[in-house]
Amino acid sequence: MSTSLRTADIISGLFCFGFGGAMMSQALKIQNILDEPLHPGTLPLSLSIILMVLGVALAIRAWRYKGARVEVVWPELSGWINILVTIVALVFFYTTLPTLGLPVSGFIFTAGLIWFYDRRPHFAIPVGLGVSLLFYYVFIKVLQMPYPLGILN
Amino acid sequence: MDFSFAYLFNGFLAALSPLNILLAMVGCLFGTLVGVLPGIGPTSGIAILLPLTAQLGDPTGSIIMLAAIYYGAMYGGSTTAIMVNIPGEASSVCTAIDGFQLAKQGRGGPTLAICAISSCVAGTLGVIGLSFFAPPLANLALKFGPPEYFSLMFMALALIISLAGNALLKGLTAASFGLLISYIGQNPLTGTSRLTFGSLDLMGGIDFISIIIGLFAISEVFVNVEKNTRYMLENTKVDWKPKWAEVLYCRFAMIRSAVVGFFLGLLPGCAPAVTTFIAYDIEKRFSKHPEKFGHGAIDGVAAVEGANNATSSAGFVPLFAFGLPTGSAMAVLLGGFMMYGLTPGPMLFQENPDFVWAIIASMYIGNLMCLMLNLPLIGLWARIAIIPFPVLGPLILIFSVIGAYSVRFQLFDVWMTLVFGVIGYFMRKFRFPMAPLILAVVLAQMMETSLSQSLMLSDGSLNIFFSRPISAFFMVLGIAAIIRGLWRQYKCNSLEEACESDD
Repeated sequence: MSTSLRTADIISGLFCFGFGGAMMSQALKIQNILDEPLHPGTLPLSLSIILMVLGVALAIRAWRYKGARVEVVWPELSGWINILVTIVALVFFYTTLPTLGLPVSGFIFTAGLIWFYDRRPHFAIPVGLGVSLLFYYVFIKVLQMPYPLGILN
Repeated sequence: MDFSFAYLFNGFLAALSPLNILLAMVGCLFGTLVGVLPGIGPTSGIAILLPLTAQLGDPTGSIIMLAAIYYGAMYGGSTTAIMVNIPGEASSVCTAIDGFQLAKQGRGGPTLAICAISSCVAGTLGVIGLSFFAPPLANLALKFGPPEYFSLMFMALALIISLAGNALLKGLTAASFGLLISYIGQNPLTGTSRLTFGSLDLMGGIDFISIIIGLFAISEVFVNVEKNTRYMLENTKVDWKPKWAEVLYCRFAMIRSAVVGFFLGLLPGCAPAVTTFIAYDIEKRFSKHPEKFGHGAIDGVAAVEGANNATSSAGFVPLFAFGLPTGSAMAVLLGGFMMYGLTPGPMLFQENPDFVWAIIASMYIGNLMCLMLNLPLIGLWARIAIIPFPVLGPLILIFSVIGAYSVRFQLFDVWMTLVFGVIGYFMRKFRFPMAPLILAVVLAQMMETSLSQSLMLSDGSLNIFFSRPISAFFMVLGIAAIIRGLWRQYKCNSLEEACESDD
């Protein structure tokens, strides 16, 4: 996969323009109920417009650029797979956190991801277990922080 | 309050009692550990131990320990920022920018040592300022009204955007994006819901810790997994001793940052996040090697850590003199004072001089103690470099997630780390600077509040920012920084050049 920085800047500019536009549509709905001297929508609206203008400027600057091609370095297919698996693991962790609880969910996440990166289960399980016990005893038992306990509750 | 060596001497006698030394040591150690854990900052640390200190029954010993947690956390905050690029707090962002680059070059240990030395030097200079000049400085801080605050924040933001160098357009875009996402949620003054797209989760806003952790830690893991990295730090040396020449090279950075951090730290609401960014910018301008900033400038890291600790020392000036907390950690500490029936303010020095001077004297001892405790620990932290990435990566992720969750205990914040992790990944690929975005996120609410209050004072006229001398000074500096940045941008023609200062 090959992308030039010029193309990346055009894409970024268009993203900023779109994001600014979406925010502007929301900013226009803000009402000044308490009749404040600074309308609560003034800054969000101004910044939405500024972001849109900057997005266009970024895209135009890149569009007009005629110099040497600068590459954006993308990963190979295995790199994309690694990123995707990491994201899926995080989503799994976030989703199961309330039901399984931090110790169990943390163990599955840590051990699973280490196993995926390292391919050695004898390394993954003890580390995952250690992390899980650390969270349980230090954060939940000693510091008494309200992390979800899930099935251990 | 008048300074007297007799008071200070008596304070040292009290602070050097075996029990108080032990309490200070426990506080420093606990504070360091609290600082190391992302998301659990000094505020949580003090709040956790506050009920436990009540068992002691001695207000002096208890406050010595709580104060030690506060400045101990400032020492520990840099560790994860340098070794694994997780700035657990906004004040560690600049430390991560250069510190992590140095760690990648195998200089993680020495950088941590320089941080500890700089923290000790600046922290001690801050305590000297607190001892000798507290009353006049506290009065100076009271001269800062909303217009001065707004101008100061404007200047800080302008300086950081100008730090983006030739990539000014991208810096401005990142800052605007940061400001805009900070306005998601409720208006700080009126409570009006804004930019929420009807989502209940967004009504509470996006916590800046989630943004920082996503942009730095999560995206760092993505960058490493894409390359199948074996070791996160290219150089896995575990040496931790800094070279004497490096310490000498950083000596002026430490002093300058102490002065900047101390004076800005006197201002209520001026968090270490702001002072560290300003100190970093000033140091870049003074440095003999400004080109190294963003790529591993040790004087930059020394300046940031110095400013951080000087700010924390300075925070005690308005707290002692007026009972005015400069931040959330100080507010919890104020709660500790009140728990013992002590009301900070001008009368505190007259009614309880033994107590006040014992606390001040303990801070001199505590700063040295933090250095002594932290230097041996550096060898341990430096060993992070030899943990293979397949193990370190998941650990970074889980500690980051827990750090983000610890702030408000909302799963929404955890999801936001993933969103900003992806945004951070593309920002790195497309070479957008992160610092303007982070500072904008930190400053947005304070800027809006002070702008709104200023306009109330002036009946809507913007002249108020130019008619008051301190405010006008900051505004002119900020505008000059932007004009200078625009000029550099105008003179730069290549896209590659426009990205070279991407940190």
